Amino acid sequence: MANCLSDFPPGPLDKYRKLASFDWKQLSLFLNGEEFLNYRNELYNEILKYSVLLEQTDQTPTLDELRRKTTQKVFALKLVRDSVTARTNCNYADMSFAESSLAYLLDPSASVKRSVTFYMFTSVIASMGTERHRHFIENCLNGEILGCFGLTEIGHGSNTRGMRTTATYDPASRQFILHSPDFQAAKCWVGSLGQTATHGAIFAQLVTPDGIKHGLHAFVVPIRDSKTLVPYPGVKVGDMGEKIGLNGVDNGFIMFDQYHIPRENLLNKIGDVTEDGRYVADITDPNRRHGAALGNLSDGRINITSVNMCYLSKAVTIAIRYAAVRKQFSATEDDEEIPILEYQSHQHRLLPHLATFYAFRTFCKYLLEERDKFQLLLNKKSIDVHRITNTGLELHAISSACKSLAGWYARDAIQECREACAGHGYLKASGLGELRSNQDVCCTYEGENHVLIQQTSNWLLRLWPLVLKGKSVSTPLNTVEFLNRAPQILTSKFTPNSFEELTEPKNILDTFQWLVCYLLKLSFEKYESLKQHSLHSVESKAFWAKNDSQVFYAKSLSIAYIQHLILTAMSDKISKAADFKIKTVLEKLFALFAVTCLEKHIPFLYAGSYASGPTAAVLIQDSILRLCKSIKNDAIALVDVIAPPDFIVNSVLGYSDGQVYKHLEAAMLRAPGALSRPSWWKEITNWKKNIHSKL
Amino acid sequence: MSADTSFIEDLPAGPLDAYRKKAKFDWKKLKLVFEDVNLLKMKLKVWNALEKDSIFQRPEKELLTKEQKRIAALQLQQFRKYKFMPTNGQKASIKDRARYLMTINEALAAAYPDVSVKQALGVFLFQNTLATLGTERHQHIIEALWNRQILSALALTEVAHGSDAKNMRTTAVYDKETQEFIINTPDFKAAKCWVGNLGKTCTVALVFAQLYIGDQCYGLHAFVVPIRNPKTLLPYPGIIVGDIGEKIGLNGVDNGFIMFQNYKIPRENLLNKISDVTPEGEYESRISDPTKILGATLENLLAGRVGTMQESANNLACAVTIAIRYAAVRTQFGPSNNEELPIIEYQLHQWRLFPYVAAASILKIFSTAAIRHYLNVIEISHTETTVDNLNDMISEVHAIISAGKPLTTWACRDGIQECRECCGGHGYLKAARFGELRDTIDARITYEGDNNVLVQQTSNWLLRQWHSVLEEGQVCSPLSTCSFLKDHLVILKFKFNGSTVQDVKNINFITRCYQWLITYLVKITHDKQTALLEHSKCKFTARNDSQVYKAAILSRVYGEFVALKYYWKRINRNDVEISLRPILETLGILYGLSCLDKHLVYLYQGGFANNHSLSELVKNGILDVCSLLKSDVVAVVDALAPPDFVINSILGKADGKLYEHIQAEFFNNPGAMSRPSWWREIKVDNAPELKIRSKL
Repeated sequence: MANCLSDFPPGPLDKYRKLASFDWKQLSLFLNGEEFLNYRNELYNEILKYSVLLEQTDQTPTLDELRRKTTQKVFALKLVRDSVTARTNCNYADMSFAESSLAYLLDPSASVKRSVTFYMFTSVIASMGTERHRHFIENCLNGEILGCFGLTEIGHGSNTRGMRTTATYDPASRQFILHSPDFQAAKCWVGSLGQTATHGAIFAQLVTPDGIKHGLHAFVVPIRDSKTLVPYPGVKVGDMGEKIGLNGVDNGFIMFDQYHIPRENLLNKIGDVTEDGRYVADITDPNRRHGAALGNLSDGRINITSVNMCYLSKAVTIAIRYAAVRKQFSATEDDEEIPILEYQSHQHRLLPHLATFYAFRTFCKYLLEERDKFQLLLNKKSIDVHRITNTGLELHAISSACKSLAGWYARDAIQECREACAGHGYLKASGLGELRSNQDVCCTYEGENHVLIQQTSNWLLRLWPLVLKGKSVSTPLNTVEFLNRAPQILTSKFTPNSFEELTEPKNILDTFQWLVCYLLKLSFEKYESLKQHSLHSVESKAFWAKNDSQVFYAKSLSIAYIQHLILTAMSDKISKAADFKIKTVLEKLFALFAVTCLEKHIPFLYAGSYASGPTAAVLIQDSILRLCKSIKNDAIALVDVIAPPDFIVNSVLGYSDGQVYKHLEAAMLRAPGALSRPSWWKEITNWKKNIHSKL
Repeated sequence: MSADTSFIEDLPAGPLDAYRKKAKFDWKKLKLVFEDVNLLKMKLKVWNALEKDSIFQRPEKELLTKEQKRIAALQLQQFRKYKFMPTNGQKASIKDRARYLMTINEALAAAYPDVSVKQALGVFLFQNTLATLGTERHQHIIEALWNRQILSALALTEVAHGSDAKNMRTTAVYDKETQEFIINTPDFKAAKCWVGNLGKTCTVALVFAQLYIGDQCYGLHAFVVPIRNPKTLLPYPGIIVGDIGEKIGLNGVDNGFIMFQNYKIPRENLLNKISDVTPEGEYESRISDPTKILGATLENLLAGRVGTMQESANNLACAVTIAIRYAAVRTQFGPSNNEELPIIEYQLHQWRLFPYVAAASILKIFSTAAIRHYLNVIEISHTETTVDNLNDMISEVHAIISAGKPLTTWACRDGIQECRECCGGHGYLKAARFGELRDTIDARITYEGDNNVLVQQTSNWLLRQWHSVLEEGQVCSPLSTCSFLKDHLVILKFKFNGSTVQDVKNINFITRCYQWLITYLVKITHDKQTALLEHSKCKFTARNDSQVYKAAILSRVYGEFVALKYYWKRINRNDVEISLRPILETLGILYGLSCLDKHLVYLYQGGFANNHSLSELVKNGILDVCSLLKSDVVAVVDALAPPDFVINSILGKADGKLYEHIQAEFFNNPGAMSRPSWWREIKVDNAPELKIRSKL
């Protein structure tokens, strides 16, 4: 059993490992499944074959050197994936999560760059192009051309309808003429465009010769000569320079100056232009066309959810292992010093984040499987258009909320872990700084979180009128089936009186169902009342009512909805656990995640009269502390289950042998020039000669 | 009487004018509420000088960290040459002199945090410690320091022990024969580490070690220890010293580690004001007035913490300036297809940012007040006269600062992050500066007393006051930050009975809430500790297990309350014009309500609110105040903001020409538009001729 999992080296962590109430390998097998573990091992072994992927540097290189190395890693990672995919037969969900948990943790820059260069470019062409574009996909996957994906402009990001790059058809030359009216319309933040891409999938407003704008369409645009990497005349392309993180990615900007491309480069699945300049499209409604043009962004968001959770897993691995080894203070002068993991406040800072990972792990698997089923549905070209549309909308609602929430959870977890490692956490060698800088972008790219999460509440708000009219609510993925019982749910009350009652899965799910119903009703009423009493013009009333019902209403609604879904997925998974020990520890993690989420909603429980009196608030707080305490002895084993391999943990504080101080010593002593005087030492000793005031 | 604001330069015209014109007050006058006029002039003087100084020019691209260290070292030397102190400054009182020095370092910190950390540790902290723990026999070292002949470091933290200073393991054993101390580091875990300036540059350090005479240990003492030969910068034999390597931020600071092997220093290098070792090896206590010593020791700890508070408040001001100016210029979406709105118009965006504008305003004034109190107790402890309640004052100032440093640094951390996210993708650019601001604040959370450990000092003090209320019916709060505790019976009966937003949008409501919260939390923390103590018989456990949801929240709430209290006091001083009152009150209320919004749980839990509308009223109150603030907020950040040179962000310049600055940045980045030097490594030789380019 579980021969794909190897034991950890002995060391200071043994003490806690022995205290664990369960077998970590059993839990890993239960949680991940054999197929996933095998695929991950294959991936892992393949990575080990490429020395460029294993290089570690103590010193941040120059930007140019970092770019060069990252680009080498992009190609190596592509070969790793190609080779493992060719010889294994792994399902999409497992493969995707394994990629996140190894490649993205190993080198986020290289993984992001690989993704845009090879997969995003080709997936846009696959979903929006037709037969005539197939060769681009083949050339790209063969590594003969290097792609990128350009949508965002300097002046417009979230508001895609406001984009101003135009592609005007010229019947005389049978070409499109791409043009950027000014710098604000320059495409920017395009990964791989800064220095390396030879081709881009670029979005622009399609304009026919009659001057009519037909909305955003995607075009395959040649950017650089792949033999010389010199940009073609007519494009002004450059690198955006340094960022907070992901500096290995050459994010670029591009401006077009009446740049001609052939008519056939239009990705023409949703709409085409005939040689003589007529626009033809199956979908006649421009709004729906806009939706179709940008429809395939859900995949990215689902992946970002997994990636965020993998970032989170690395952070808690480092901080919890450190907490088990680091000792500070003792009860009396004669006692031994106590590992900081034993302190209640430290448990409370770290363990809820550990629970978050476990909750999301089962949820991500569920979501990736649903996404895979959806893809099959699409591939079948099923005639049930209605079902396809509704599944797409529900997946969009789910992915918009979980991408945002995962980003916020990962951000907060990394920061807490960094602070929980105190001074040593501030060392670059702790790995937490880079983790934070690389994760940070997840909150604003692929849909700015606060804007994106509105998609979820919008979807939910469209369902509430059905409830009001007493009609049945039925969605393809059944995520809100309970809305059919909304009237009864809304009259129910918070009943738990003890820890056991509060943490009982059914009671927890009931409470979240109440929250979703309550917040949905509240947001709906807020929106309607704002619209009714609005002083704005008739056409803009809805706009303002929507905006003014986000804070405390719609945003909280989206969050409660996705939390309920995450908890449901986890509860389903736990019910399948045969091993009592595993079931018990997972139930604790489920309860800890649930009650920690619930804690933030306490004011709603009171404001909605679901709870009254001190019990609810006190019970929730006490339960969190009790759960933390009861998970504490399992914490190291739980980390062992989710920890990446040591060469990916790559943190002096977080290796599996727990030899924190030995690794710290090695890192400090081996840093180049650590012990030598600076090369510029004379400038210090002779400083009076060097420094002159101008004043 | 109207303040003279003529020395403050006008702001350049541009896209921000639309909002600036809507402001109902003069931003320059508001600035003089946030800043003391003389200290502001001093800071402007510093910034003007640095802006013109070639050594302080910012590099075009990120430097390697070893180069950053070199630049920071040179900048520090240059900075020490400037004479920013007013001509009468040298003769000023201890208090005024210290205030000037802090202000100069504050100005430096806002623009060059690395250099300021190097100076604060290597010059000020060293000098202060020598002055308070040393005696006349160390005077020559202070003089050398002022003559800029040495740069120092202060070594306390060890690899395995930080917060827990008592367990440090570096030893200094007295050798009667040679009249020397022999310093030893038993193993790497006992190496001194994180010592600023020690990595590459200092020649002397103050090292804290366990003093031994024979087998007898006398506890931690400070020693002056020579580290490097000043002529060659080579370390002396007997020590292993090195740089700890790259960090998340502040990479211009050469933090170092050091291990000693039978390293000998003269007996006189012991800082001997509190206690001394005679040549014959007798340990002598020299404490004359323990209060004064306590004050002196605290002075060194507190100086760093109040400085940190102020720098953090400034960083937060910087971050909100960038995000607000960006939000006023950046447009996105709109009610109709041909109209786009500045994102500042969206309630969601206001709610994300405005509470941090309020926090920056309140915390700036709070940190100024904290510095004033700190300097007052320092001055008193330096005078010859005996002040009765000096001890109590010191304890209270200590409690204020122990809550204030975590409150300010965490607010700054959260604010910078929110501002960064509010600027969307462009906020992720290095040139937006949020990355650097965040990496700098990040260090402050765990240095100068780890926040989570520090807050316990405040709750311990409050618990002592509570104990004294219960036992003797009185509190020892000379600065009266918690004197209301004696009315606890009345306060705990407070109930919320409001029904409209107006009932929560006022300072009386907020004050009542805070007095109730502090009283309630100190009571439940005390009760919890008593119960735990009965159960476990262990004080240590009782204290540890009453932190979460109890003591830690108590400190936080107390910090917020004191911050608001000092803010309110300041804005009601008679130098504040009537025209400024409304905006100042709006900011105070927004801060109060948005903090209270996070404590609603306790208000329900403890029965302050039975009425389920409290939560809704507080939330609606916040949104109301935000919409009220919208037309003034650009002018508020103008008042908070330092000059563009200090803000150093392409998104946050005072002229509001956002896109011009982004364009200039992109086009001028070195090598932005040239192919990489390594292009041959990735070119594709067998690239197909795709015939997709047009032939023109």
